[in-house]
Amino acid sequence: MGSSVVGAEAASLISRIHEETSWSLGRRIRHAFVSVVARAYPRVIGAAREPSWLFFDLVFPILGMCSIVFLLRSRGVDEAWIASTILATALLSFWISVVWMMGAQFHWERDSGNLLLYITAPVGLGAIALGMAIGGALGVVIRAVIITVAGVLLFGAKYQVADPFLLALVILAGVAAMYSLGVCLSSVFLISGREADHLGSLLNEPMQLLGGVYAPVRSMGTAGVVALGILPLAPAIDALRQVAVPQLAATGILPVGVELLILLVMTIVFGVIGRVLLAHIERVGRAGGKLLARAD
Amino acid sequence: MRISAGSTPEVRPFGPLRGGAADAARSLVASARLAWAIEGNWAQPVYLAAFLIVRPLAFLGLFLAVLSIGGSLDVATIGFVVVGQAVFQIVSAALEGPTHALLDDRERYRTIRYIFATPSSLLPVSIGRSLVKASIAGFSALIVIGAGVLLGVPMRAGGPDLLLLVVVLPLGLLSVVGLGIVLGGICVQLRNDAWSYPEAVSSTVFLLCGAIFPLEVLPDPVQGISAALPITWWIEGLRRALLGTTSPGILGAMPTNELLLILAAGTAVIWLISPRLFVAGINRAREKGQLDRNTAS
Amino acid sequence: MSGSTSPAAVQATGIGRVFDAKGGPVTALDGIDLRIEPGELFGVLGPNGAGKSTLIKILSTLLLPSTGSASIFGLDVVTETARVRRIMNLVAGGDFSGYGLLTVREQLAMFAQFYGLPYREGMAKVDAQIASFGIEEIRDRKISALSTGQRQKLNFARSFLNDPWILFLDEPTIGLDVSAARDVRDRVRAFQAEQPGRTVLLTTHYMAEADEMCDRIAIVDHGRILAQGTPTELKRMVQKDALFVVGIDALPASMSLDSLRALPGVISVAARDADGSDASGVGSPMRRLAIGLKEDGALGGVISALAAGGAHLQEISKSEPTLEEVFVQLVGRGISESDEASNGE
Repeated sequence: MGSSVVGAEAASLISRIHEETSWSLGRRIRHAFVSVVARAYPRVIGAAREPSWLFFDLVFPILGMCSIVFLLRSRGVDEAWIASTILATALLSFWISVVWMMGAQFHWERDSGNLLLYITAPVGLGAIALGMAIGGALGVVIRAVIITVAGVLLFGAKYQVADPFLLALVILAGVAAMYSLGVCLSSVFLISGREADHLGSLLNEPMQLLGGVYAPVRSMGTAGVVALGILPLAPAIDALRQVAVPQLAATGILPVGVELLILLVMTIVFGVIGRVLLAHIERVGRAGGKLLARAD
Repeated sequence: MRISAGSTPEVRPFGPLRGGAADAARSLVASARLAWAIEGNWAQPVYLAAFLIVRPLAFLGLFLAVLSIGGSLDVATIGFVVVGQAVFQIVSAALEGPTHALLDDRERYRTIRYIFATPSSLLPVSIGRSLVKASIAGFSALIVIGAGVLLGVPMRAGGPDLLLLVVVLPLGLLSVVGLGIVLGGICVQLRNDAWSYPEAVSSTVFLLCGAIFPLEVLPDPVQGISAALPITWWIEGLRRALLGTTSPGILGAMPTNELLLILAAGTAVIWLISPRLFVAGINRAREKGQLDRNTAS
Repeated sequence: MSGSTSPAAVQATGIGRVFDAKGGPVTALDGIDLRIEPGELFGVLGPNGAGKSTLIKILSTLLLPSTGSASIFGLDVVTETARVRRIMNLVAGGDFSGYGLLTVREQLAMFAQFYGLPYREGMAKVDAQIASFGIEEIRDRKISALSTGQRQKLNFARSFLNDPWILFLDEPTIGLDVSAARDVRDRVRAFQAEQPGRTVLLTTHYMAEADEMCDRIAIVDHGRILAQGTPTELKRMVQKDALFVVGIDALPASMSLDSLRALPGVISVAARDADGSDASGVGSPMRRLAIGLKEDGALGGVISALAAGGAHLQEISKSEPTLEEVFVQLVGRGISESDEASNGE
């Protein structure tokens, strides 16, 4: 049994505790940084620990890519579109990760009990979400590379990248905007409760269509133009096509520079909205009592 | 226990196929009702509607958008894709259904041990659940066909070829459900990623069965595998019944009576072996202690 | 125990919590007043649905109260959540949190970072906790491969990483075998002993656990505290008089239970373990008598009277009511009956 501390000793203890809990801004920033790294860690090592995950994460996109390639070949289109399809599939693997490993993640974390531990730890959900995003993106890079290599080997695609730096910038900006949107989605999925899985499915194929992943967003008419402004996939894939497959540069809707700017704005705006939504989630969860804890 | 001479104790075969026809029918109906209750239990019906309508239409839109890269689309090409995409909604649901039913019962509802402990068989239970999933997917299929009609796809003059439809539809469905239960028997033995295998098989079948592109674009050796799949001929049979035309290339070259023969023979072979493979799979899972194991996968 | 003016580890005033439910609002807590001193191990005892977990959720910043206020070491749980979270930790029974692909050490290292420990200090603490819980042999095992007992030890190890000033334990030994439960109880005691002022709030179903571990206990039902005090104080509430069990070879023929009841200071006499005796107990082979006294000193008169009658004394023990009996008296039903009732609701 414990022995209680009373009187002056208790007063001294409490003043010590108050001092301990007053973290400086520098300490809070350091703490947020190490928390981001700590949360990214399981994602980065996940693929190495569970090779079967990597296998299925590759099988599904590659099968999907093959379907699109055969569909294109059935129409005898320019092989440049096949090169574009391979890149689009690689980029799409980031989007799938955003939907399932960002959007649906907090929902899963709640059911597993992790969310409760995050909330009661002195770490903000923002740092956790950022860690998920960075770890997720790093984990997907290897998948995207394998998909691209597999596509090139299977279908003999050729690329002419005049400016590798610009290509890297486009990919980086596209991935950043997608994961930034993922932070927003994580709150939306949490609110959607047990329909989260279905919400994830709805964000897959319809977004591929709207985002002009395999066919130029132009074919979607007004919806495609709107997608350019709200769906990171759309400007990212359009810019990627222009930079990596010059034969298709004419199909670009906007200049690459403008699309990079759109992606940058999306990253910032979605990041801010995501932050606000996470704070809202925590507030609503604490008030209502159901959002943050699993239903026992 | 001593059994006196002349008395015959009632011994029910123990295993996934135990029970008589009446038991099986009862199990089939009960599991179908259960599946309907589970599948219909959406917190917000709008999600169900969106799931059943938006997703298949998005797939269709995606394929048509890709096809349009090669130039403007003729209605025959659209019709080919529409029927293939529509039927494949049912194919994937029926292929994945038995595995998902078994894994749902094992992992999510944790009832498989109780079902196994009843005099019923797991086989009709899995088939019943699978058929309901396929029926719900049938709704999506109708939506896709409806979209095709709106896009100007000319349906068969005078309506669908009912005779062909009545023969082809159940035969094909049986063949897919048969393949689905084989998958169920295999996947229930797996610990990790058991959920993913049926989807991987379904995606592979999609690639092979000529659902959205002619078989000719596939590499030659692969075309042989495609031709051996009853699903390939099921989809082609339904195209003929609904559109009243034959597809171009290898698919269209097959006379309808031979197509029916291949489909019937394929279905018969599948049902000759699939219940046995299912039983073997379930028994093996039981031996390995996987039948009621929660893998948290 | 201190007076109410000295600073408290937990101070709750008029805490109420109402949940919206399909059938109308449900009151989980109804005006809870609670004060826990720094360094105490305080138990909250109650049936399912009594409001124990809701109370812990509010105090651990997971839930907002509908009414009232609460503070942890003077920090408001509603407005100063970030600061409260820097000095607290939480363990819930049946918790399966964590990432299955991480090893035990990696999982603890991750949480050490979340709790704001510098890397080296954090890793040192991780290794120290692994050693302290005797789980060295599973330190490199994946979480997904752990047993229930191992997982709960891991949870406790996690909860000690940040040296919390207040530790919330919500049914922490539920589902554990006797040995694992004893291990974690020992570790909680050791944890408190290491640093004066560390406070523990424990909710439990297990009467013996509460009796054995807690400095003070609150008995909660229907969102209200029915009684609180030390286990001894609670038992005295039920039994204000001294109760002794006296074992003798047989009740002398010259005596009856009534004659014993007539002795000075004796309130009640009842036969225990009666073997074929009649209601009066006269002349029957009787071995144990339960004797209620106004005060302990009256026992001498009873012993003398029995000895004078020729009875041979075989044992004397003072009998105390159990917490279960306290619970029954306060709640009106046993804890298991209460659980059945709430499960059936």
